[in-house]
This record gives sequence, structure tokens and C-alpha cells, in this order.
Amino acid sequence: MEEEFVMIDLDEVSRHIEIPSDAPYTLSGLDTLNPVLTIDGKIKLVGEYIETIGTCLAFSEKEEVSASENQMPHKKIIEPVAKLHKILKFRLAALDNDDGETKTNNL
Amino acid sequence: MGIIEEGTISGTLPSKEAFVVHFPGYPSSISRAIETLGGIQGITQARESISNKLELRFRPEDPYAHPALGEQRPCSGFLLRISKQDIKKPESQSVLDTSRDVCLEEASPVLCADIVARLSESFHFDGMADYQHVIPIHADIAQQKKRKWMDVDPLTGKSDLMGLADEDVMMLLPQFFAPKDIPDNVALKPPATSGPKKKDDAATQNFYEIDVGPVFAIDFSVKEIPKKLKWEDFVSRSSNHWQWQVAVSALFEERPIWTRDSVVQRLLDKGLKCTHHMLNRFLLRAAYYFSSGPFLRFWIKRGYDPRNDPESRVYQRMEFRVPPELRGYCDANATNNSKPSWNDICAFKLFPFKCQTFLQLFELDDEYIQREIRKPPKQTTCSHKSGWFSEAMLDTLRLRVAVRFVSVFPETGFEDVFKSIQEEFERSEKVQIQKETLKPSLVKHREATKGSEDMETFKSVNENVDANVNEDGEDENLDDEDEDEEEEEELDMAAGDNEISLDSHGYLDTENSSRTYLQGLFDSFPSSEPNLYGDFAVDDGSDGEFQIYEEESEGLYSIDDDHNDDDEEEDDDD
Repeated sequence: MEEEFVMIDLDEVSRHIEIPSDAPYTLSGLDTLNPVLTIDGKIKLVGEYIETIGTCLAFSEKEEVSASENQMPHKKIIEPVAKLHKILKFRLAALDNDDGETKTNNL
Repeated sequence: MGIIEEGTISGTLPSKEAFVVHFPGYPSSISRAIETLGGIQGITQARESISNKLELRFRPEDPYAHPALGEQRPCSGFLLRISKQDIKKPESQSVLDTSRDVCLEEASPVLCADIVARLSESFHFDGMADYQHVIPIHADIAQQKKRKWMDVDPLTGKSDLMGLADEDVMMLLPQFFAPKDIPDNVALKPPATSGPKKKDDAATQNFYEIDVGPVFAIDFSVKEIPKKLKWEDFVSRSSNHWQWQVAVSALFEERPIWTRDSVVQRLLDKGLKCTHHMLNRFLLRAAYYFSSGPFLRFWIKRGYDPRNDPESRVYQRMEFRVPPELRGYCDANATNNSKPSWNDICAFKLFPFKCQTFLQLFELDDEYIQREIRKPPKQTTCSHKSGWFSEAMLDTLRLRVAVRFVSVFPETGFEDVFKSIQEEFERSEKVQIQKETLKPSLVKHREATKGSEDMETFKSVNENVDANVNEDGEDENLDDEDEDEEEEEELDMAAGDNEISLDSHGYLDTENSSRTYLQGLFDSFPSSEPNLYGDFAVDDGSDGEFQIYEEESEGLYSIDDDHNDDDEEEDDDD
């Protein structure tokens, strides 16, 4: 199985809105240059592909569960996940209502 | 794992967290990248430490490799995974359908995408990259390891370096490219106290560039001199500069030309002391100076042109050069910081420390010099070389200055030098007096009506024995002129008779030759005097007497002519 990773960059968006956790999302337009990310049915973001400067390495952290939790503190285990060169930078869509209306009309 | 249908996927944002490292390079593999970051252990330490600094060594095998530092920052993002895989169910379903459908579905693999992690932190390397000098051996070792990893045999040419390594080559610690790891923004803050002063200086500077015009080292032949400046417009009365500027400008009302040393001395006498640069600023508001000529580098009042005013001759420049025999004194005092007083220098109380000193005639405390420079000017123009004086006069004044300075030489062994300069001055003075006595007589010869005034001029001359003798000579010369007039009258009377005129023609020739001789003698007299004086001082008197004797013989010859005329008249009567 071939895998390719892309980093979704929401730094510019996080200043204005708070992204909830465990929310449903829809990612459309993956076959276009500007994918659209909709979070929780309300937040609509437009993406743009960017090349990384150098290489972006992704690492995951796992909590190590020891036999006796009382005696030893929790330790994190770091594992490399991916090496990627693509960043999908998202920003807020221009007007959410218009896009929604347009989409409704299409449907 | 969501299947991409019409370019769209759906799912739930994950709670699993991850972090990213923005690696400033292109590692050959993830494991190599982890090695340069200090391994999993190094990354773990960086995550746990308070400083959150992640060290990156591009050459982990090199013990001297200088690490680049990565800084941990919060970020907001997700990790999207896109994969390609085949689906079994469609295949099983297609078996039931026709064979054509089965082929189509098998040929088209399915793309899947899913957001797999939330990114909360990232490391960024903003510091200096490591451009450290690389020792060839370390580079070769690194290359060796790379080749081993790539299963490539090392080149045979590299064995020399390995041999060197085995022989314990001296390892010199290379210098860092830059001492700083992270660039800083450095801004120099001007001190608040000097703010207003800087502003004033800037305004003044602009004013100078625009309006002051050229005042430094003006060419002597320039047509127009700098005009008077209204400096009150840009010097406020409340500032310190006002007091200084008033003092400097007042000096130029006292007299129009000053030496810089004299200005400094005057200001010091008033208790005003300022830097060289500030004094230049005050001076250029009130004055200017020439780059050459008789007022070289003397500060001259704005609006005043010494080239048009004969009275400026008293302010001309004079120089004193220490004789070669006495320059050891100047060399010994070259490092002497105690500067002699300018007043003492001008009063000839101190011998100068410098081998060459420029002075102003007006300031020299010497009776002879002050008397000579105040005599009526004899030149109608100010020349570049000697100003309003003749070169001979300037030489005499220069010798006088030398006599006065050498006479106060503080060490022994100057007597011979003093005597030679003294004698030279006395000879030059005699020549000067000789010229003065001759020229007025010429004027008297042309303008008989002003005889009385000329006589007064003679009496005012500072006389010596030779001068007296010369004056007697002049008196005899006057008598000769009277006789010449009488002879002319006689010639006119004789011309009335034709026979007599032939005889008188012969006498006319004789008289012409005698007059030519007198004129030649008279003209050559001034030019020959300097040579005679220069060569033999003792013979001056005898030479003068010799000249007088010849003139007397001329008189006798004239008397003989008179007798001849009487004889001829008697013959005519017979």
C-alpha cells in the first residue's frame, strides 16, 4: 500500500476561530488545486498547496502504560510517522453564507 | 479510512496528537534525519526540557560539528494521509456479473484519504546554518559511512586520507563562522541629551553648504572675495556660541587680518577656550583665507580685499626658518608639548620650537621692522610673491627677524651663526638705504619744484657714514646739471653765425660724449652697488670716493671747455 502525507496548516485560521475536537469534517475538492474543508458543518476553509522549505518530519507520541502507575511517572514514546514535502495551507472562505446558498441551489 | 468519492471524504477529527520538525535540509532517509537530531532520545529530551531547544548536527560523526538550534512553537494543524489500495468486495461482486464488468473494476484502484492526527507543536530552525570548515578526514569518514549504507565500495583514491588518519594527523580546532547562533536586530539609540545639539549642528551644516560659499584656501587671483555674513541670523543669543562669535568678530573690527595663533592667544586672554573645529566654525563666519600669496592662510575679514588696499601691507606674512646649524634644538623639542606663548614669540623673547614659523609683520615687536613697514608704499599693486613690498625689502625684513630670533637662542654655539646673519642683515640694510637715497634724487631731478620736500625725506633717513658721503655726491651732481644748462644757452648764441657754427659743431660732439658718459655712469651706479657691498665691505668707502673723484674730473673738463670758448671769441674779434 502506497502512502503519501500532507500537512494541513491551520495557523492562520486558529487566530480567528477555535477548532473543536472530535467534530465531523468534510474534505472536498481533493482533485482540484483548492480543496475545501468544512468542520462541524459551520466552518468553511479554502486550501492552497505549498512546498516545504527543507523537509517536514512528523512524529507521534504515545503514552506508555506501566504495570504500576503509582510508582513510575508516565513516559512518552516517540515514533516517526512520515516525511513530507507538501503543506495544505487553509484560510477562511470569503463569505460562508454565499457559498452555502450556492451549494444549496446546486443541490 | 474514507474512500475518495468525487474528490470528497468525510470523517471525524482525531484526538490523537503529533508534532512536526521543519528540518532545514533533505535527509536521505528518516533514520538519517533522526540521527542528526540526536536520535529518539535527543528528540525526547528536547520535548521534555524547559528550553525546548532541539539540536541539529548536520555531521553527527564530526565531534567539532557546531549544532543548529531548533525552537519549539505551538501550531495548529492536522496530518492528512492519502493512500491507494484495492477493494475486495467489488471484486467478489463482479464475479457474479459479466466478465467485462470484472475487468473494469479490477483495473481501477481506489484512493483513500483520512485525517490521522492533530498537530499541536512544531520545531523551527531560524538560527544560523553551520558553515563550519570541514576537515577532509571527517568528510571522508562521513563519506565512508554513506557508501557503506548505500552498499557502494569506497574509491581507491581515498585510501591516502585514511592512511593519514591512521598516522595521527594533528587535529586543529577550526574557527566558528559566526559567534552568534541566532541573528539579532541591533539598533543604536542616540543619547537623548545630545538630541538638540545634533539638530543645531545639522541646521548649521545645511546653512554652511548652501550659503557660506568657499572660504577655505581661496586662490589669490580670484576676482571676488567672500562677502560679509550676517551671522546673527543663525546664532542664538542664548547659546554658548554667541559669546565666542562676538569675540571673534570683534577681533576683525580691531584689524582686518589675523594669524590663527594670534586669534587663539587673544581668545585665551579673554578666558575663551574652544576646540580646533569650533574655532574654524567661528572664523569662517567672520573671515576667509587665501591658499597662496603674501597673506597665505591668514584669516582675512569678510568683505575686505587686501589686494586693493595698500594699507594691508603691514599685515603681510613673514616667515622665519631656523638656520641648519641650530635645528638640533628644534629636533630636541619636537616632542615638547608645552607650546610657547605667541606673544613671547612675536616679542622675540623665545626661540621657536618649530623649524619654520609664520609671523605677521604687524605683530613683530621690533622698532626697525615697524618703521620700515609703515613707510609710504612704493608699489601700486599687490604682487603674488612679495605683496606691496619689493623682494629686496622683504629679504631685509626677513634677515632682521632672523637676527632677533638667533640672538635669543637658549643654547651655546650660536655666536658664529649670529655674526654671519647680522653681517648679512647690515649689508642688506645698507643696500636698501642706498636705493632709497637714489630714487628720491631721481624724482628730484624730474620735479625740481619739490626739492624742499625731498630734502626733508633725506633728513628723516636713518643715516650712516656711507649715506652721508652719497648725499654729498648728489649735491655735486646737481651742480653739474646747472652747468649743462649754461652750456646749452651758449650753443644757441653760437648758432647765429655760419662760420662759427662749423667750429661749434666739433665742440657739440665733445659735449655729447661727456653727457653720455655721465648718464652711463649714473645708470650703472645702483646695480653695481649691491655687488660691491656683497663682495668687500671694507672697500665700500673707497669705491664711493672713487666715484666722487671721477665726477670732479668731469667738472674740471667743463672748465677747460669754457677757456677754449674764450680763446675762440678773441680770435674772432681780431
